[in-house]
Amino acid sequence: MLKNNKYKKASFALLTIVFSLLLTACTPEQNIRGVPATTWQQLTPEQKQIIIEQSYQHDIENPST
Amino acid sequence: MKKVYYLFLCSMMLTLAACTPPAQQVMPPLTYSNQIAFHDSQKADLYWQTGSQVSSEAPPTQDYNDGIGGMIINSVVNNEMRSAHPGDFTYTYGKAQQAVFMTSLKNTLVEQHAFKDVELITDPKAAKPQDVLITVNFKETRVLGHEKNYQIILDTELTIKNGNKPPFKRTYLVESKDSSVFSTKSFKDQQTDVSQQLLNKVIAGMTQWYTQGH
Repeated sequence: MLKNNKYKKASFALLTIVFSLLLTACTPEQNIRGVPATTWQQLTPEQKQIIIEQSYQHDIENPST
Repeated sequence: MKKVYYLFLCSMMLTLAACTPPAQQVMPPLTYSNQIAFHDSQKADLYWQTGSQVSSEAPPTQDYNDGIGGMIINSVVNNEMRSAHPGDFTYTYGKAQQAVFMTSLKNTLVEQHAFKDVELITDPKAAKPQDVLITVNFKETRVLGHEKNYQIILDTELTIKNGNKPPFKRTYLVESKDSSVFSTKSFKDQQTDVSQQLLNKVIAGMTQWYTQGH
């Protein structure tokens, strides 16, 4: 009985981990001004600001792209 | 006991979510350890120009100990991960790294009072005619493959324009040093290495421009 419980707990834990991994894998990556969100989060406000301005300038110069 | 188990589970999931993939790591701001040997009384406009970026993709990983079933599942998850999160597998010296470089250069020039004032601009038309216009053009940034430990090569051009005088131009080709497959240097360290070399060269170029009578 005790062994059965342990087995259930272990498989539940494994399923939770696999499920969370699949969830992470299926969620599409976000891009902010051409920079992946994970990279974006590491930047300082000053660095983010210059990327936004640069991207805005690029949009003005190349309206079709 | 149950609490400990759930705590462990939650911490594991958080750890998984918090780990930043190596390809997405960005170098910290750069520092210039030497003293800048000039002080100009004009304001400088620092213009950042981007060019082409050549990236490199991480090779697929395959664990042959998983058996055929494991290999198929592994391959499906891997493909799904790559299509949903291309940034996790693409090594590039892109906008983020260039922004860190440009802000570091600007802060160094401000801290050392190399000019009266320094402003970072993205439109050269925003520069006033009485200001010194410094353009750093990242003509091509290239990241080599896994077998070269994602070595970074930067092809950049520095142009300094001051009124009607002929522009001062220099081209710098710099590459990160450690390119062996056995190297333990991280991609973040490669970024710092190559950017630090470029920072030193750009400041040396500015000093040369100043001493040549700007």
